[in-house]
Amino acid sequence: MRKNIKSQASLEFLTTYAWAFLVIMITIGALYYFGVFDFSKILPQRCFFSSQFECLDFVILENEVRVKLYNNIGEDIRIKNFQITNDASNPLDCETLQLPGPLEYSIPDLPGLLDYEWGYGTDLNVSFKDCSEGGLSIGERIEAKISMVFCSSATPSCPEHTTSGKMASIVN
Amino acid sequence: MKSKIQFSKKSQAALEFLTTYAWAFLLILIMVGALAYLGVLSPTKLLPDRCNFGSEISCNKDKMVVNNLDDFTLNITLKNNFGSTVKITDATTIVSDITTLTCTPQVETTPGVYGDIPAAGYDWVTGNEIILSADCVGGAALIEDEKIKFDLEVSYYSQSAGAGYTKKIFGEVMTSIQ
Repeated sequence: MRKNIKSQASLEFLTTYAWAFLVIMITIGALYYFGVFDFSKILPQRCFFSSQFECLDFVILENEVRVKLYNNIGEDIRIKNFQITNDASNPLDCETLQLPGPLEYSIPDLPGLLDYEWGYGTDLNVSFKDCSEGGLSIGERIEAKISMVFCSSATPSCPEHTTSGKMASIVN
Repeated sequence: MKSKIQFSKKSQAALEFLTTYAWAFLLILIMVGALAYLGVLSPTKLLPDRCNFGSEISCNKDKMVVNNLDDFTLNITLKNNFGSTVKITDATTIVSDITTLTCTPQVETTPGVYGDIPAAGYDWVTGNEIILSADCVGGAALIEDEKIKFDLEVSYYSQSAGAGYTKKIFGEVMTSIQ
């Protein structure tokens, strides 16, 4: 009997306020449909790297990611590896790396192959080409994570360090 | 037998409810129809003017106007908040609600003179304001006092980075037609 009273109260609550829940859900649905919750085009496009490698500019294209970095670390370095990915369920995958020269490398083959000299106080245009997955479709806002392995040119044993950066932009 | 009688009683109650209150439903429907016809249910006129380009380009809603003219249909003042000088390479203006309206964006190339965005790009110094204008074919047919929404797309690149870093920025303008 006690159980019945309890269930009656919850049923009465639902029948009384179901219309309010329905109105709220329809309102939220309508707002979503009209793009009120879509902030992707309004949020700023940004690129973060450590202060040692300042990100001067960047662009994400339909099948390419370009980034311009500045060597602010205080010495010449040798780049040993560059990788790009993101947090999408099918992560961003680029096949080719282009460095000034122009030099092109197959990204999976980079470890042990790449040894690019980058002078202190200079810019470096890095281009990741033949990119796919990761939500790369024009007009969509995506994030990309770049990691770079480098060592000091002045140190003969070349102990490797890794730095990483992140960019968020609309695919152009 | 018992359940059949109970079922009949239930349906009778429902039928009585409908016959008793049908006039009220009808009245409500007619009222909603009348309100919709008279535009009371169209809140766009009540919405405030707005102009949004995100933080990189600021747009003053008091410095934008849409005229029901073919020339200078849209005029907005935009400020460069990128923190560096950029070159505008292209701009597009779309009115998604009125597909017949075709707009051509222009910039103030010299004071008081408007022209197409130069092929080599239009220099926009950091912190400076520019007037972006659009001539719209079919603009003269726009109805005064109605709200209109323009979607804008500006292609630009930072002068220090170069044309290889051309990006797009999106904005929207909603205001009353003058």
